[in-house]
Amino acid sequence: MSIDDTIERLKQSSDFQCESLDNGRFKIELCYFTTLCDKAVIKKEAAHPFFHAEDASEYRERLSAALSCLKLDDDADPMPDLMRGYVLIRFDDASYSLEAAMAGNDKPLHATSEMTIQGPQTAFSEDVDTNLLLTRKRYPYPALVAEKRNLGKISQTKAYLVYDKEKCDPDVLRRAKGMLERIQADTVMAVGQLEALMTETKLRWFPTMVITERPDRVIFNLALGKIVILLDGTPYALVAPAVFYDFISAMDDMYQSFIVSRSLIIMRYIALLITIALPALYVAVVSYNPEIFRMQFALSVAGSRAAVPYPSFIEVIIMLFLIEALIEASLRLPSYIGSTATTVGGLILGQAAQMAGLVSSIMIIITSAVAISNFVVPINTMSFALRIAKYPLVLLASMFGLAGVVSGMFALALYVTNLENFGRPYFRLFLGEPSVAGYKESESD
Amino acid sequence: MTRYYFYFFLICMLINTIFFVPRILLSQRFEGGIMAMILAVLIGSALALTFTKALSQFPGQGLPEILTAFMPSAIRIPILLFLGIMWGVAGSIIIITFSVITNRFLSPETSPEFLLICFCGICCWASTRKSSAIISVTEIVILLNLPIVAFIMYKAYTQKYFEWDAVKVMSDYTFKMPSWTLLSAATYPFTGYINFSLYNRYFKKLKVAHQWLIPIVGAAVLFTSIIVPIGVLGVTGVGDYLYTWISTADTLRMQYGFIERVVFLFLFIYIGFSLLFVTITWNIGIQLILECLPKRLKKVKRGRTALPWIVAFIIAAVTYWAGIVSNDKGMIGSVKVWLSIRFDSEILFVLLMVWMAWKRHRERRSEHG
Repeated sequence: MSIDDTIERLKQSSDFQCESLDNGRFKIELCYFTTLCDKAVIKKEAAHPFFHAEDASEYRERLSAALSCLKLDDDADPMPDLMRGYVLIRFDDASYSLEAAMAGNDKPLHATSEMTIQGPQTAFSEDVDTNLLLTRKRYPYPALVAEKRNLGKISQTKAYLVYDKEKCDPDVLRRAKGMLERIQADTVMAVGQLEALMTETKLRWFPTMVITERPDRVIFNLALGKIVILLDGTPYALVAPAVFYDFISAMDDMYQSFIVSRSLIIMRYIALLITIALPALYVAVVSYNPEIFRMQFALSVAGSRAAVPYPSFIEVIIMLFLIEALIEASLRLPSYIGSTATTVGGLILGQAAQMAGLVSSIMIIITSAVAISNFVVPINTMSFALRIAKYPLVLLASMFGLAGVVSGMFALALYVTNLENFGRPYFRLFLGEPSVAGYKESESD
Repeated sequence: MTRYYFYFFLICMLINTIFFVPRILLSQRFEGGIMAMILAVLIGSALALTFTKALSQFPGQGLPEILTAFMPSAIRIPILLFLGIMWGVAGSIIIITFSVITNRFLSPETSPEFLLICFCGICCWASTRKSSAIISVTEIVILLNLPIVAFIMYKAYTQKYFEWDAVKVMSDYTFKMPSWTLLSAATYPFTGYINFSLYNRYFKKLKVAHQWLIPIVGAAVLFTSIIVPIGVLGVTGVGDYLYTWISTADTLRMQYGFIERVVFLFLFIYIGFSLLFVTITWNIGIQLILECLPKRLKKVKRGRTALPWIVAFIIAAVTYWAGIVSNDKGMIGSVKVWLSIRFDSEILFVLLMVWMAWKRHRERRSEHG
């Protein structure tokens, strides 16, 4: 397609502009999207030199000296450039394309989904170049390489593959590049989608890459030798390959004293066990083995269930469904209505359900313990994955009792251990990751 | 590397000192049971150490690869098939017994067949996972449960009703010649090392430090498995129980614990251990049997193949059928037969390994010299 054809095609859009400029000595034509380009840059780099230029050849020299300005061949297609905010400058016989893209939302945002108390407070921005800047600023090391990619057949979303060349595993890097090559989607919007596009299996449960909005987590992982993908239009970065521990660690762990952070980590694992196993244990104990508890406690459980007419697994499913619906609703609702949802939900899940004899009061405590423990998981994608994990266990518990719960936990452990991530193990007791922040110890054998 | 060796040693030790071995030993406690244990510590450790030494000649190689180098397929395939079935049976025995135990002590309302389906299904799925994952999950299960096992043992030894006199009575019956069945039962707990004949593939070099721990830990666990039931249930009383250890654990209580009866804690741990043990043995069994099949069958489609599933399903189905038709009395009889076959074949297998290691060693020497 020749340049003229392209321009004819683009002229259908009202924000595409072709202006002829004339300074009395010669003429040029500027074609660009007004919505994509920064007028100030066009004025400074194209219009101003044009005004002062004596003749066409002098202007050409000026353009050649300008930053990010390329001479186009006659048969080159300027379309991709134009779509990314370049200005096409046309003479009678030659064309140049000059980068004048307007930065999108390039202010670093406040960290909202991964809070720390005393760590850095700003997250990434929605502009990928700013994000790369933030990364480089915090990781001023010459081995840091950023490779540019355009992902998505239509969206051509700008992305950077960032890694520390000295530390990262060449095999992992090769695999990551191959995965990016194979992406077939039309549009790439967010890093979560990118993760889905990069992994081969469709049946994914646990996240195998960390999605983070924190620059400090990104540079920590770069120093560990991991690969980071920054994507334009989202304040999140993708870190690969991840291991299970990454999802249970908050950045605060590195900013706290040793004993405090270790205790917090242990607490998180206990919370993880509670959120996975508690509903199933309730079903198994109440329906199969109430004799496990000491007599007084077994009686008080039975007493609180006295008004409930149906088996424990129905009770559990009602309450779990309500709490999941409440979480999902408060996530999607506009914040004005959101408070109504929590109030109404709190009332129902709190006293009313128990007074009506729908559920026992112990079940309410269990439901809230499960929900609260779930929120302890620092990385959002993992906490979503763990929300699912309790349902198979409830099913096993209602069919086989405690034996089913223990078997289910065993199967879950084996499932997670069996996962592989870039050909590396995902979950081990001792992973032997290098220590870069004094946080993870290396384990040699 | 060392730690994985001991995980497999421990899992076999812990599983077998609970199920049949104490029952067989205790049923003949006056006819050489004690002597069998003393001899077993010696024989079992000797076999373990010899095998480990022999296997260190073949770094990173599993049994199928080693056999291929030394014998034609006409001999190799029957050996592999036999060993694969032996491994499969080892797991099946545990799973059948454990479904009976779970039914009797944990959920009497559920039928044992139904529990057997649950365990068979999970082990069938689990044993087709990657071996490396199974090795790691062994580490997780063992390290998480070992403290609880230690706690239960501490509770058992320190409980008020533990009768040391009963244990002392047993010393009168030490010097009696044990039967072959007794000896083969008593050596079974030491057999954990044998899993390395396949899992050696996943380790670059089999170098086990602290091998002196094998006889010491082995003797400690084996004698505990006999002494505690005798001390708690009495010299004659101990013969009245079918599942000696579960009944022994049921004598313990945790006065201030959330769970009052220790037996539940004990059962939870042992469900985990049993599933793990069955997963390991079936995984090895499946791989050994698959090695016998001709290459053209093992076509891999998009990184996955249905063959392990088929073999696992066959093993699980046979186990389920055996679990339904067998009763307790028939079970212990066939286990005794199986244990004797196992002991004989274990000795032959270790000798075979020694022979192959010696040959390999000589080849190496002639290459260098």
